[in-house]
Amino acid sequence: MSKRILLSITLCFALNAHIFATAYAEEIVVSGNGAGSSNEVNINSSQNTTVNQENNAEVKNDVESNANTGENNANDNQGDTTIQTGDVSSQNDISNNGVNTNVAINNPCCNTTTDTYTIENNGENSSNNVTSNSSNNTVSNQTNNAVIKNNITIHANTGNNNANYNNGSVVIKTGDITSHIKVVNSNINSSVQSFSTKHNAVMLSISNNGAGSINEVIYKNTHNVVSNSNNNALILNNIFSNLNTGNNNANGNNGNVFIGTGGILSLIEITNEANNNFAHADCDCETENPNPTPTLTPPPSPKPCTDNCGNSHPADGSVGGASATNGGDVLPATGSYLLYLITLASLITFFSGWYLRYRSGIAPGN
Amino acid sequence: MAKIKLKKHQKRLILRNIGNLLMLIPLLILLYIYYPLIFIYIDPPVIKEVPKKGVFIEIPKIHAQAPIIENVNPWIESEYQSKLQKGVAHAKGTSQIASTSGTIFLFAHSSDLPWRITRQNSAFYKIGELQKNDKIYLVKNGKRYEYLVTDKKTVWPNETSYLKDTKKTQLILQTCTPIGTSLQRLLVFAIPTFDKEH
Repeated sequence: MSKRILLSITLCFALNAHIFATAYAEEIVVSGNGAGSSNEVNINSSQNTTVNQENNAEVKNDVESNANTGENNANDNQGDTTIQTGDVSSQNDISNNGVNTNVAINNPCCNTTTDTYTIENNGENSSNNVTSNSSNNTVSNQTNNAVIKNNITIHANTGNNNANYNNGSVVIKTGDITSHIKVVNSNINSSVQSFSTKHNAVMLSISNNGAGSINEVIYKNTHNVVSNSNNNALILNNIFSNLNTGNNNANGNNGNVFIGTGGILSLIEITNEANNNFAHADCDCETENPNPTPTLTPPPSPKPCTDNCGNSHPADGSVGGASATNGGDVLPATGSYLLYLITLASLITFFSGWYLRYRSGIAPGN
Repeated sequence: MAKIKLKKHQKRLILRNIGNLLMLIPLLILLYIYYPLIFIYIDPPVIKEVPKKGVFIEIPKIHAQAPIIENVNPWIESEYQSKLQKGVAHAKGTSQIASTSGTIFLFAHSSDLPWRITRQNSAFYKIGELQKNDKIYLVKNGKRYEYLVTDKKTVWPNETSYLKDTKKTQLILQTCTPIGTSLQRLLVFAIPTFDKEH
């Protein structure tokens, strides 16, 4: 029996949830103003974007398989008695793939434009000021909760045969049992967050203004991205496999008795791959993928190089996540500061002992 | 009066004995820590014939010989730290051992945690002593592949291009430097001398 359940439950696939923090081009020109004039341009722009994504999924798979070629009885016969039971082959698969996926992408890198600020051809002793303040704040919160319960119960029997009180010889031969159970829970709780932090290009030009003019351009642009991913997966794989080729009885027979029990081959495979986070805060147009999959394995985030410095990432199947920033990854850390620290501690202890030994007010040998 | 003097004398004796103990214990600890490293100089390990199966590295000049654990993810510290206890790690994503093209990137401890230092997991302890034209052998299933050292560099940990750019046909050995720290990385570069159609 083969049963394959391919689930894509609660695929709240906010795929390409593009948060269009579109980059607009600004062009400010302060030009041709008369002598002694005072000209001022103030621009304040603020853009705040918050994305909240939450997926909750509960998946339950119940599989029960019963196969029986045994439980045969041959009793009180005059001649020879033979009980031969057939083989049992059982195949049971459960596959849960792609449960809970959040994708939030804002990567308008390729669309960046140039902000132009020009102060030119203004008269003598004029005062020309351009002030531009812009801020772009993005907060992305992603939560995935998945509860997956896989219950598999397998009963397979070729045994439990009885041949009693027969006059002739008795042969009981039971069949083989082959059982293969495969449970795959993959891509459970996936979070993909990709945000650009690239600013527009800025071109400032102050030229050809009159003598004594005061010209000033103040440009301030901030771009903040906060991304939070919270994935919770509870995966329960309950497998009960009851396989029997034995428990055969041959009692009270007059002839020869032969009981041969079949072999049992039981293979159980369980794969759990859950909680994948991919957070990308960079500008990478070449690799921009409108449909990124959570199976990306970016380089790990940087850490200060202390003892056993390097990158800490859980192995596949638990929490595989990464946050990549510009140039964040490091070559493998193959040294340990502990050697130095223990050496230092030993030397300090040694000299403390030396001090007590020779400065305790008693000379050696006294 | 005599009693007070006796008490003082006893106190000094106790202090002296504590001092003796505090001097002895760190000496024993230092001996325990540095013994494997000192022993490499006193009695350099002999390069033995390796088994027919498996992958190994041999560097005759520094008497280094260790098994290579293939396809170790160099970006996941928890993964490669456990492998480094058993030998030299081959970085996953770089060319396979004895490949005739691309970069083979191997990394190993120059020093491990003091209680784990062995000859095997500190195989690259002395690779800083390698000079141009020194020989390095990779042994795969009994077949030896010779490389000649061409260069060595000390780089910062974030200079990952050596690990990422694998187009050039070469062998790179990496360990941490200075010994006992992970402050910088020492890279030794070597090129194959065997025929591409071996």
